[in-house]
Amino acid sequence: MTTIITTKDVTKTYNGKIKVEALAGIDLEIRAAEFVVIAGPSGSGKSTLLHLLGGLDTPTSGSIRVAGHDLTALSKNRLSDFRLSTLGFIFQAYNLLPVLTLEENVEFGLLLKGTERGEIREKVRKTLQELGIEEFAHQRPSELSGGQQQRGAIARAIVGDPELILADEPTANLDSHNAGALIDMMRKMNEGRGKTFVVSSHDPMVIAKADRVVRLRDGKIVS
Amino acid sequence: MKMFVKLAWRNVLRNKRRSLITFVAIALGLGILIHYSAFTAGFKEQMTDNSVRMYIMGHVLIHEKGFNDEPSAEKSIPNAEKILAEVRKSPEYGHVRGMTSRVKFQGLISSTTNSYGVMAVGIIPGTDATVTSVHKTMTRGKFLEERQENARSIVIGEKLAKALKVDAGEKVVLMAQASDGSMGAEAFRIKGIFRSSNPDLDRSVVYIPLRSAQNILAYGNNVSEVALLLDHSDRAEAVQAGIKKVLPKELEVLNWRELSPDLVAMMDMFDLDVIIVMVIIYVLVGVGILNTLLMAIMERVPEFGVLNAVGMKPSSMVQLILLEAFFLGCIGIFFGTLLGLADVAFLSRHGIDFSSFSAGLGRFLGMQTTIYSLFSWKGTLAPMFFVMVAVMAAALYPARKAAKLQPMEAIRHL
Repeated sequence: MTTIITTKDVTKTYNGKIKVEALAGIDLEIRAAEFVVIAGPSGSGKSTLLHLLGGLDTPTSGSIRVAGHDLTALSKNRLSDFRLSTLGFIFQAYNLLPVLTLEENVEFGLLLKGTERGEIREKVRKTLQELGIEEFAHQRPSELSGGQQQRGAIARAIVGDPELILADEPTANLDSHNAGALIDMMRKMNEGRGKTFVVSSHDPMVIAKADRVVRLRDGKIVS
Repeated sequence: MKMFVKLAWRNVLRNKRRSLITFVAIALGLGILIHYSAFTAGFKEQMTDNSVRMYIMGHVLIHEKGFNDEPSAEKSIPNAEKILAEVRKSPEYGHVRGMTSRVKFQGLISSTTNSYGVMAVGIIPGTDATVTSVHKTMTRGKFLEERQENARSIVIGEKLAKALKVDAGEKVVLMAQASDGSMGAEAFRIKGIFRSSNPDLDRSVVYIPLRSAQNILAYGNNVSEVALLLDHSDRAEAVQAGIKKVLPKELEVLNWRELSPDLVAMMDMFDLDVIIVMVIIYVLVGVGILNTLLMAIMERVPEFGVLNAVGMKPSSMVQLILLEAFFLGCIGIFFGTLLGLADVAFLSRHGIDFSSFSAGLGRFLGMQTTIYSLFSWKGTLAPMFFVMVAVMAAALYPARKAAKLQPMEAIRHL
């Protein structure tokens, strides 16, 4: 199986009032269609690593190659193109756009890509249906529960059929029932569509579903 | 693009209080700019109009060549009616609101107690009233009328009356050197006393009937000048040029700017003053708009981070923010223009009464105590354009700042 993510000696240091070394020499390889969980306690660097893999932040040093792109060498515009074409990102806080309906949030990326209107309608309908939130299509995020919003965030991440889906603690704000349903859904997509999932979490339920678990502590991979 | 428009418009509507504050800031700023433009334009036009009507006595004056530099009784126009007929035939006549001919000379006015040097103006009361406005400033008695029994009537200023210790109904004698070198003199009864609100004018100018002035100067039917009042002071140069073409070369045709360089210098100073105040107001309004928009956009930086994270390019984010600012600007400008125009409509009809400063205004070229705003397209469109530029410029700074952030920096931004 081909490698989709390769990181070499990646470090990330936040230079605020106090210097914080969030990641220290991360070497990681993830193969296509894997379901990898990055686990570790709070402050171990899980989210930082995920943000770097998604090109949402830049490393202090080291190199990151994702789906053939050297992220450290891409311009801001090329990074946007990369995220649009290759990546789906699921935030812990959902981060749906509050002024758009669920359907409009999901179709936003496709519109940016310039996808044809009919195709957009069809893809969005299918995705919402698959995630069981079709009936909420015309509601705004503020009218949805946490679980429904998180499904909406997943729909937005997968509707463009990206090779890689990064999910930052997707179950953190959900109850155990919703969390279980969500992780089953993600796993199903991973198995059914062959998508690569990299999920940061310290939720044992999520960790139990992983193909592989990468454990972080103090910014370093410990196992 | 449709999604951009939808997103931008919904963002405008999303936080109604914030948008309302922005609209109000833009609308008030624009309203102030339109008000100030129209008010200063009205002030300037009134100042010009007062000067033209009271002191220069016309936008365009026609004399025998050299009269303006060296006025003398020997320089006169023999056939004023022919000149008036030529003016009526010229294409510029459409801009002429009033025409008259008159005699002007330096003379000595005496009462039983005192004598003073004055400028005497011999007028045709009916036509002169279409060019000047002295007749509106009478405080005692009446202005001259076109009746035979008024041939020996004179109208003088209040200051002069006080200096001569005379009142309406009393007699004075006016003397001057005639065009043939002899001394001409006539006795007049004071028909009325005016107060123009300019002390110099009230002290030094007297009005008598044209025929009496012609008699004193032994002028026959000659006059010193033909005066035209136009529909707008800005048209003086064009009308002057047109009239010059149809009149004989031995006549000089001068516009009010040439006749009163002091007034023009004062206008230039006033313009400079207005520009300085305008720049200050524009900067204040611009800073107010910048501040409001900056707050409105900066508090949404995390959202721009999300847009960037889902694949929107930084340049598209700048476009989106500018589109939002454009919508905010359009609404603010719409209400600001309504506010400004309502203000101009009200003040062009009712004006602002500065009677408590009237003495000062009176000395300032005989202004009336109520100043009226004057609408102009330039005075309305220029502030609208400026406000839109200010809005877009104010949005561009935070937009570029937001676009430069990494998506996670923006999402974490507070």
